[in-house]
Order: sequence, then C-alpha cells, then structure tokens
Amino acid sequence: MRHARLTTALIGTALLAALAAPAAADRPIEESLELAADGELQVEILSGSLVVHGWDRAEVRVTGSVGDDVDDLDIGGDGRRAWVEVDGDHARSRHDLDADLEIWLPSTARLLVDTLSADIGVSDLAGELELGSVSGDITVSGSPSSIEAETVSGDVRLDGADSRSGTAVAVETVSGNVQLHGVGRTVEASAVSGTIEVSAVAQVHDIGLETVSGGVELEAALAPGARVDISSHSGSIVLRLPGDTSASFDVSTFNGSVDNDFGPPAQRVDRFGPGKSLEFSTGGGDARISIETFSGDVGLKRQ
Amino acid sequence: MDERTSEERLLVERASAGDVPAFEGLYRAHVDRIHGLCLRMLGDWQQAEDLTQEIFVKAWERLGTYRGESRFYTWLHRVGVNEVIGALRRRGRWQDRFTAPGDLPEPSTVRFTEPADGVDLERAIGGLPPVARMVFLLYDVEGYRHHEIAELTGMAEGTSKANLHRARRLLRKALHP
Amino acid sequence: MTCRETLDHLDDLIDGRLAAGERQAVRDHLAGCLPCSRELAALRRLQGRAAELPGVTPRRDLWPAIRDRIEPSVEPAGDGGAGTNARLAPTRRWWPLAAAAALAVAVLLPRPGSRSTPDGRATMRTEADATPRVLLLETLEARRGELPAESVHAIESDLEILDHAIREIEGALEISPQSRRLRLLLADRRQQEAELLKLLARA
Repeated sequence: MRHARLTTALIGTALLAALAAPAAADRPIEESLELAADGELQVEILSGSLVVHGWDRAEVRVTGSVGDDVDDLDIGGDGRRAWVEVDGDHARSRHDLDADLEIWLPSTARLLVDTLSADIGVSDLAGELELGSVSGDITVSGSPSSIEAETVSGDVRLDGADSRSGTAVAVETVSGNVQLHGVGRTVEASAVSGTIEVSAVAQVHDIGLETVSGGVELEAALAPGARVDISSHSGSIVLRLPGDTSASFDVSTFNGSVDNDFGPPAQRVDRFGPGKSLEFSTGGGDARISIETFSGDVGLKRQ
Repeated sequence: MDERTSEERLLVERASAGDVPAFEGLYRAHVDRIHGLCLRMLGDWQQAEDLTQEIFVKAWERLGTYRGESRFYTWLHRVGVNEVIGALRRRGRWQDRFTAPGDLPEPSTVRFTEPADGVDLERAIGGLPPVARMVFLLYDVEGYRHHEIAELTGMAEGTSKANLHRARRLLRKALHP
Repeated sequence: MTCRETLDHLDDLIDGRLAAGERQAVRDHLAGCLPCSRELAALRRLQGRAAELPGVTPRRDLWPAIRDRIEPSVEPAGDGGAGTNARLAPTRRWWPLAAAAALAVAVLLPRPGSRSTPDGRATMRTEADATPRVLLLETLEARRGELPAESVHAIESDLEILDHAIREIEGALEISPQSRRLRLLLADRRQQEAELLKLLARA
C-alpha cells in the first residue's frame, strides 16, 4: 500500500464517519464535502469495490457501505484536497474490511486511488488519474488527460472511444491483461506475462510496449514523426497498420519468425548464429517503428 | 579541403572497406566528444561507457550508409544521439520526459550576472530536469536546431523551444543564486 | 517594450527567431536598459561556454571491447585454464545497485548489510547478493500474508518467467557475443526486473 503517499497530516476539517456500535452486517455511508474543480481526491481502501463518476459540481459525494471490521472510514478535506480512507487492522484476517463505495467528484479534479483487491471503475473524469491496485481490476471509460495505472495481477481496461484529445497513458502490470481501446497520442504499457492490446482512434504519437511472455497487439494509425517501440521476449507481436502507412521499420528477432505484409522478408543478420533482422521503409518513412523479440514471432499486417 | 578532413576521409574509406585499425583512428578522434554527450545526458559513468561502445559498434555496422554528404562527425553524432535517446526511453517513464514544462519562465526580477566557472556549469547542467537538460545539450552544446530535436526525440518543436528557454533560465539561476 | 517583455524575447533574439520589427524593438530597449543588456551578455556567455564544453575521456580505454565486437577474436588456446575465453562477454550489471539497496531499506526489510547464519552469527551480505531478484523474493516473503494469493502467485511465476528469459538471452550471448540487439534485449529485461521490485515496494 502506498502509505508514504498518504498525507494524513492534511490541514482541514476531518469528518469522521460516526460509526455506531456494530449491529447490522454492513454500515451505510453517505457523506458530502466541498472540493474545488481543480482539486484532488485520494481514495485508499483495502478491499471491496470502488466506482467513481465525474460531475459538474464542486463537491465530492461518497455513498456505499463498509464492513464490520472497519475501524474507521476517514473522509475529510480542506476544499482543495479531499480523502477517503479505510483504516483497519491489517494484521487481522480481512474478512470484513470491505468498503463498497460509489463516489462522485468534479470531473476536472485529480483522482488517486490505492487499493489491495477492490475493483476500480472510473467514468466521466477529464483530469489526471493515478490508480493502483494489487489484484483489483481497473476499468476506465472516458477521456482523462492522463492515466497512470499499476497492478500486480489485476486487469487494466481503458475505453476512451471518443478520445481525440490525446490522453497520455502509462500502465504497468505483472500478470494482468491490458486492453487500451480508443487511446491517442502517447501510450506506454509494460507487463510480464500479461497481454497487451492497444487500438487507437486518433493518430498516435509515441507508443512503448513491452512484455516478456505475454503477447502484444497494436492497431493504430501513426502521426508524422511518431515513434513506436515494442519489445518482448517470447510473446508474439502483431502490428496492424493502414496500407498507406509512412514509416521506417527496424524489426529484429533472435529465434522468432517475421511475417511482413509490407514488403521484404527478414534477413539472417549474424553469420555466427541465429537472428533475423529487417529494416525497410514504406511511404515516406515518416514514423519510426522498432520491434525486438527474442523468440516471439512478429507479424506486420496491412489493414 | 584541409589536411585533417582529407586524412579523415581516407580513414573512413578504409574503415568502410573493413579496415579495423582505420576505424580505431576514427574512434580515437571522436570518442571523447561522443562519450561526453553520453555522460552529460545519462549522468552515469558506467552507462555512458557502455553506450559509447554501442554507438561505435553501431557506427561500424552502418558505415556502409555514410555517403560523405556531411562531415563524418555529424553522421557519427546522429547515430550517437539516437542511441542516447533509446537508452533514455528504456530507463523508465518517458511520458514524464516529453511533456512541456508546466511553468513557462516569467523573469520577475532582473539578475546581474558574471561569467560562470567551467566546473559549476557542468554541475548546473547535471542538475537540470531531464528533458530540459537533453534539449539544452542538443541545442546549445551540440548545435541541433529545434526541428531536428523534435524529429530525434518525438517531442513537438514548441516543447523543444520551451524546454530550451527553461534550461537557460534555470542555468542562469543556478550559476548565480 | 518593457523589461519583462524584453527578457522573454532574449532567447529568440540570440537564436535568430525574431522578426525585423520585434528585433528592433528589443534592441531599442537594450540600448537604454543596463540590467537587460547585462542579462543578454550573460545569456551569450552561457551559450558560448556551452558550445565550448569539452569532450570527456572515458575512465578506461573502450577500444579493446569495441574491437572484439566488430572483429571476433580467434579461438582461445584449449588449455582450459590459463587465459580467459575471449568469446565470452562479461555479463554486465544494468540495474543501478545503489537504487536497489535504497529500495530494500524503503520496504522495511531487515537491514541489507547483515544476515544471520543458522548458528546466530551475522554475515555480511555482499553487493552481489542484493540483486533485484533476491530483493524481490525477500520482499515477497515478508509480505506474503498481506497480499492476495493470486498476486503472490503472479509475482512468483512471473519472476520465474523473467529469470528464464534473462538466462535464455545470456545463453544466446555466449554464442553471439557481438550481438548488440541481444544486449539491448537483456538490458530491457533487467530493467523490467528492477521495475518489478519498485512495483512490489509500492503495492
């Protein structure tokens, strides 16, 4: 958990949710507080579920319920920074430390979320998102200005179908599967065994993808001067590009195969051992594409 | 054509034909500048040395594509800058590296300045934020134009200009607090 | 033109990007303003010094290693013991060890400087022990109880995958020591290992 990031010494009015002596299995939550449109909300929950919506009020609203073993649900803020935190005894069995929350916040505010296993769902936010979970899945829809998402085994899914404004996306996971649809401009994603699928709506400018054993699929139109870097060990890489793509390609693999719709086949590069490489250009050679694998197969497909 | 240029031409010709000692001559002539670029960009001796090696090996592999249209150093240098940028990208979140600075400079007080000492300048450059440092090194030290920097790094030309402005402002401030 | 506007335009002035009208306006201001003139002089001096920054000689001669890569050496003598095998490239550490050690402290592991042997005596852990892999496994052990089982399993099995990948590349490098692309791949994977450690520290 990102304890170091919690600024528990924030100035402001702390509204501790008054939790009556446990009687019901779950305790309902209903809180509202002011937050400026360009403010920031930090949410930290261990488990349960989190759904966040953007709206046009300068206010944060938190509803939902928390489990019996939750000692404190700390909700507070000073008008510019707000926080929602579950405090519980981490050493105890986490049976009832669930917080199932639904939150509304100003659509241009910044959102930071840290959780262990809650699934996170975010929609209609236009600001910066920093979302971290260990096993929870992360799902974002809409066009935030930037997204940083990090999981160990949770999946990450972004649906920015209307995003032409150029969300900057950075995703890191170990075994989660990453699906980024309708992203534009800059994308960076890294996984070990997780797979990465990226499809863009607007022209992309800068893409860096890497996996070890997971596969990578990228479908995109490239802006002039775009850079694409994809690296994998044994995962296969499939690139789907429009037929009129203007790019220079630098593809190499030590043991894998290269299937190229755009032109020449790969050449054996090293007279002392295996290894194939392929360098060629299409159109004006405007964008730059670099693909490296150890044993993963590479497919360059014309759309 | 001066003597040094024609001598170098000869070395390049022979190196292109596979003459390793000739390539060593080219290496000796240019390693300090290439290594200096790497060191100032990466801020780490070991990495700078490793990268310098990679650059020369790549230059050897690519010698066939050098047609003499520009000075050899210019061509070699381009190979170098590409490798450095590749190394920077592999380091981590390049997203942080290529966005425009949030605070465009607004000089609110006028500073009276004196010439800077060489050592201070190196330290000040090392203290620049990575993107600003890179643009400053490419523009003011290595002599690239903004459109070339934009092409090499993938940032917009405006971002390059803004970063240069920021670097120069930060350097002046660092050298004369 | 005010001082502030002039100062804002100085960069464009020395880079030759001002239109004639603006250039004249800046020059007119400079003619009558000593502080701004001094600022311009300082900027020019900075630029001058930057352009003169010298090359930096590497700490050691890199040529032998480069030569070995571009011109593979002859087979070493078959005595098996005396000389080093010139075809084997020394494995290079790509990750910043200092950073890895710092992280170990950050995740509240036992002090990385010592470790107890079964009979109770402390032994010094050498720098070589503090690889990201070792730190990752130790962090995982320390936090096994807190983390969801699926995630612990993901880290263990993916660490195996990363390890296997690194070993495969190292094996390939023994056959093709001059392959730059293999070295780049190795660097990428080692970087990923270091990033994995940071991710776990934050989890």
